[in-house]
Amino acid sequence: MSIWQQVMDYGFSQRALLAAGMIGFVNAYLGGYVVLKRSSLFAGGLTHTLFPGIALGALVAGLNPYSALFGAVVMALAAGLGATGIASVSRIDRDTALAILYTAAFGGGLIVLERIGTYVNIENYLFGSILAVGNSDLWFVYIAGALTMTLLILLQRPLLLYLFSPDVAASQGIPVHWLGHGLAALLVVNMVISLQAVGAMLTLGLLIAPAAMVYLFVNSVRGILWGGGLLGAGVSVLCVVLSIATDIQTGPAIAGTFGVLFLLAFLVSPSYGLAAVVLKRFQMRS
Amino acid sequence: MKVLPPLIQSTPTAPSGCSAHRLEVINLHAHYGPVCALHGISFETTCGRSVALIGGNGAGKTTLMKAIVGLLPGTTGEIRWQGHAVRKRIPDIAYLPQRQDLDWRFPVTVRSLVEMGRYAHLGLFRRLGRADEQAVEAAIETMQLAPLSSRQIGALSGGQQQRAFIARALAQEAHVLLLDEPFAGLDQPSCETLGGLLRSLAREGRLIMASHHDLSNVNDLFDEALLVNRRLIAFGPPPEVMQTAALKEAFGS
Repeated sequence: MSIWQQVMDYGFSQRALLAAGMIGFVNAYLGGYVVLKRSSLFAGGLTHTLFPGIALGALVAGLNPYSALFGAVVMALAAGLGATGIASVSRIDRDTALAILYTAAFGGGLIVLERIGTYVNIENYLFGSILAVGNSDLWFVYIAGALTMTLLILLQRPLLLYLFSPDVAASQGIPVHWLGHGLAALLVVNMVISLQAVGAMLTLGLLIAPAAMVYLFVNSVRGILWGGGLLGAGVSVLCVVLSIATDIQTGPAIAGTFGVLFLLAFLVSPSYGLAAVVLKRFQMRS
Repeated sequence: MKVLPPLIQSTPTAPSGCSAHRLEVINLHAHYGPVCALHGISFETTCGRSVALIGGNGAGKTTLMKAIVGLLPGTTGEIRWQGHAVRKRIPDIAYLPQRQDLDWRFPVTVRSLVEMGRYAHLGLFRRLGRADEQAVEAAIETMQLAPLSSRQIGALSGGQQQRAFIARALAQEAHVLLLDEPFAGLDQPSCETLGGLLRSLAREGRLIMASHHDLSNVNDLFDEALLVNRRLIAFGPPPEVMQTAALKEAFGS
């Protein structure tokens, strides 16, 4: 039986492909904003709150998909808003505050899970289990994805002005604080969605790697957003096929592939990569 | 250089008489937490002039400009433009931050940057129409950036970057341009080009206000000078304002 038949003959693999395409696209599109805003560190901090969030959910209602999602959203929002709040009233910056909050939460989460004895079952949430996506999960992915894309496309112009220069945007009457909070909230929603595909610990790669790769080649925001989205979807789908064919886990395959592709892009980018830098040095010397 | 139509035609809402084209700042106070940054600043000026904001570090030059465009939440006092109190942000007044405060690696070309100036008129969805394209084209032309219009903004010189941002404000149809240290870090020829362009923008009927730290060329570059040190120390023709006594007070000893 060919790989193609293997993939298409089963409901679970079809669902996995559909989920991977949508999750890959929306995460990478949103990731474009994260990369351009240079807030990958903040986004990374938020992804680390997903695990203690799942632990919180498990503590309250036992470990199941709904408690995990709910706990993750609550914890990520609490940490994100808490860090933003601390930064706005003190001299501590947002990334520092978040780093302290998420490590504390992470420690708490480990203790909780050990105590309630669900430590072993949590692997799926940490590293993803896209081959186990059910029909209701797929609906959830598509509705949340469509909602995210609608908002991002509706607010494209104000977001662009805000990203480039918050001061100039604010001077034109754009509510920059609300846009910032809105972007962070969308980020949390999409991290939770991608829990299923790549898991809490690996979701950051899917979020920022595609846009960062395109950023090395393209001088247009639209190009980075859509190009990143297509790359995210394509690589995610390919990795699902790969993992069905070879039994490698999907989440790690996606994260690893993006790492390799990013390094390649960094090496060969004609204007912003290593090759370009070396070439320029060489030309200057001769 | 292409001469833009007189601006008075495009402001039919301006009340007749002397308040048209007048920017008034009335009893402006600004605070950063408990620290008083501006204390009771009042002055007025009109379109057609270029005004230098001078004062030492921390004297409140940037704060004054940010307060005028409404970027500081804790300000009291009133800004009046063309006789009306400014409460909502309007595209008439454009703020251009210091070059070092901007991300020059941002993936936009000069043309896309200038197009951003049209967003204020386009709302969320309307595509750039013919009139918008023409405004963008004219702004690029006026700022002498036509040969560079498809460059990424990081690949420009300091003076060109400043001009690209001014072109964006022109595309926005701003009448009042508030520039934060536009001459900082520019070499002599770039300074002269930029100075000439700002002067001609003022002659065409715009109001140019710029913070400025180089006291040696205030007289060459600007029509008026405004000396601040949290309070307004002096305001008038540059030679008068530059009198040593006033400078001493502003810069400390």
